[in-house]
Amino acid sequence: MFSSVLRRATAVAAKPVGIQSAFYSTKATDATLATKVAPVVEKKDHVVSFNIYRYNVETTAKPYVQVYKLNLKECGPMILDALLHIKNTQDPTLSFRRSCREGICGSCAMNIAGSNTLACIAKTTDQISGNSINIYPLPHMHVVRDLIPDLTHFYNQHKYIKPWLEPATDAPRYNGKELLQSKEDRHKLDGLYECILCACCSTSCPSYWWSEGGDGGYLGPAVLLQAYRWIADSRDSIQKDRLALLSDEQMKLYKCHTIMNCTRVCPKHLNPALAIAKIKHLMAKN
Amino acid sequence: MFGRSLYVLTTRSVTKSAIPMGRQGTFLALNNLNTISNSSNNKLAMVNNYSTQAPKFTMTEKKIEEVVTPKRATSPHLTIYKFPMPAVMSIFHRATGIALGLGVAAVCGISLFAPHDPTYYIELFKTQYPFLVIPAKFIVSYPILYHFSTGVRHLVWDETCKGITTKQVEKTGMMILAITGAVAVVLSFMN
Repeated sequence: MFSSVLRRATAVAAKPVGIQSAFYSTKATDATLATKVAPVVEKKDHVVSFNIYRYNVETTAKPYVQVYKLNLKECGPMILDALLHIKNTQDPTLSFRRSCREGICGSCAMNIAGSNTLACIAKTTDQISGNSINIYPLPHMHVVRDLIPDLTHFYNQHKYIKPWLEPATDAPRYNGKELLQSKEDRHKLDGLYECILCACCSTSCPSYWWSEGGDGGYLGPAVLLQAYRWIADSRDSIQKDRLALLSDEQMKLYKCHTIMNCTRVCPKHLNPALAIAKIKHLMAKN
Repeated sequence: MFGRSLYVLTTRSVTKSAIPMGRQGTFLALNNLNTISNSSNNKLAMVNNYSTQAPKFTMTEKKIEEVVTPKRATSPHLTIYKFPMPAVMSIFHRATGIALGLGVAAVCGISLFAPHDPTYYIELFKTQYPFLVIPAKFIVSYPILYHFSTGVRHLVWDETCKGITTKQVEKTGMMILAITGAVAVVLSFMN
């Protein structure tokens, strides 16, 4: 047995690939490597004009669009890289939210080339139209500055739907602590819990634009998706209260006309329109 | 959270009132250091700006009602958004609905207040403008068919919760456009 292991080990060591080749590289392997690796393609100059919405409540009365010329050769591939490059090299006053740069925090949600998305996962070359890229803040929101919208109302709406678990007091608990649920019940939450509340979907919805104001306004796809996330949870006990919260004003839920802008723009590829349809279905049955 | 008094930080040297920034509940007043730099002590201001020492500050109390949120501009929406096909179809559904409502109201108004029946005016139109009969028929029949079929699609969505993905909605939308267009053309050539 020992001899067979030894034989195999020597056979592996004899191959000029893997870790061994890195340590015992010969001229021959160097030559083969050199032919295999494609020559690095020199990036060509590609100057694109970024038309960016600017607004500062303290200095300017009216919003305006400022054009920045940027050579894509000099910066990273994503819109966020380009924005950071502009901020670093051209205009430090340009302001926008950003944090994780990998599409999980939802901070850099903005309107790029006419559609809402996260700047960090939108490739610059995909967004060019006529050698320019239009960048605006999320539509129909109060602008704090430049590309930063005021999401206070959005967060208040999220708070309104009680985004937390309300288990029954006599619910059976594992070890006296954990609330267990079956695998099937857990799978019902897939496609709901992944929401990062970036507000891309809500601000893409024309219904949300026209009736977002006040307490009786339309809650919007993001908040309704979250509402359904808690309604669909098997461990929750106040499903009827949650439905009542949504139905006490007609505008809160039924302003959805299945326009599907929300599902199209969701950077996490969720389907808020389907969640809203399921809430409507539950409403009709109860 | 609301109604509680909150603390706003202000520097002693700053004479200009601090401008509140931030959200409804939490206000943070920023010290604008540039306000202390004027022509006479510009150098001193520069030193202050780049000093590693923290600026001295006192705490003053402000009621939440006194803190004014500046009037902010609303970001552009309808003018900059690139509407995909289902959204345009939804707008068209609303538009055809309004047009059909107005059409029914017009026919009702004619039959109530006009000296002749609506059929009389239709015959008049036929004799006066025979070349416009087919387009007119299309203009009437297409909105009815379109509004009806998209309405049925809404009922199917609400009843079954099926077909609500971007691809399926686009597919059914294209089918509705094609079928209603063809049927409307056929109807407009019928007598």
